[in-house]
Amino acid sequence: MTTVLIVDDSRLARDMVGSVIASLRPDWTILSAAGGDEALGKLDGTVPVAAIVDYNMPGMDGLTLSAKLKELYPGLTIGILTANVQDALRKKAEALGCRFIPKPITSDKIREFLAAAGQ
Amino acid sequence: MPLLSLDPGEADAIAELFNIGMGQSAAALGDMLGEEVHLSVPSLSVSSRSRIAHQIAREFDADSAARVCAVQGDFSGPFTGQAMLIFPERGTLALVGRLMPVDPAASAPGEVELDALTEIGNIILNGCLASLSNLVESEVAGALPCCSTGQPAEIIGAADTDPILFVRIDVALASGDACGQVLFLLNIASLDGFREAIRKALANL
Repeated sequence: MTTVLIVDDSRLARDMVGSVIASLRPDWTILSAAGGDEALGKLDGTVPVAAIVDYNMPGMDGLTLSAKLKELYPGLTIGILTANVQDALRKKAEALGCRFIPKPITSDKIREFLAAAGQ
Repeated sequence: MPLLSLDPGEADAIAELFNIGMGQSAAALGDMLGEEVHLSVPSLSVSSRSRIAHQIAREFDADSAARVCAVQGDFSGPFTGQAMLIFPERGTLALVGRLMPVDPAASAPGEVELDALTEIGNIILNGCLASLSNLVESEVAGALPCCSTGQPAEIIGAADTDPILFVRIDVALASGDACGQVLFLLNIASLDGFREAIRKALANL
């Protein structure tokens, strides 16, 4: 079973990313969460092939969550999906070894991300 | 409790659209200032100008700055209302000081500083509305923003208790010396148009 993790406090954003992935990879399992703690709880041992994580979320921000995910799953490809398209944030994401995906989401951006994840 | 006639999905969609719009604006501002701009998660509520003015005054008072500088502009399209960028006077000086020399002894911004703030407001507010307009594929016309200073009650409106949809995003420079807010006050009567525009935007995905 191939699992992809989607974390965004906006349901709209989760649904958008989820529907694009479902159309590109219909056999994948999509695990979605509204925040970092919920995501870590829901994973519960499942190893995702990729994670798409919003930056600007209440509580744990996307970079903090990504750092935790990298500790748990060192090879995991993570995309920081964010409306905050500033270079400063892009650099922080890249320093963590994450890809930077500017909102709004499109199927091309997701396709490119999955290709980068080797999927 | 439902937010007027908005269901939670619609409220979430509106907050996310403003989140995307402000993200683009913050990037433009960050480039202009050469410094990272921090944004809060947008909050959405039904409020009134009177209540918002009190809330803002209380928060800024803690910073011992009762007077604020505001750049305001009306907008109309699938939704109508007013966009506002508000900084306390001291924060305005810190913000504008990134772009031009500011007298370190000044305690309140003068005409030149307010001109600079107006341009910053113009970039942020119109940038956000332009992204929103692209997302809902419908033109949002913005009036040229104008700048004023005073107590939050004078600027936002202390006597007006009509319900409005209130979107708020806190804006701060990374170094922490300039913290303000972007407020969108949306006319409730225009929400049907907004809802329709969002539905169309979602259907086109």
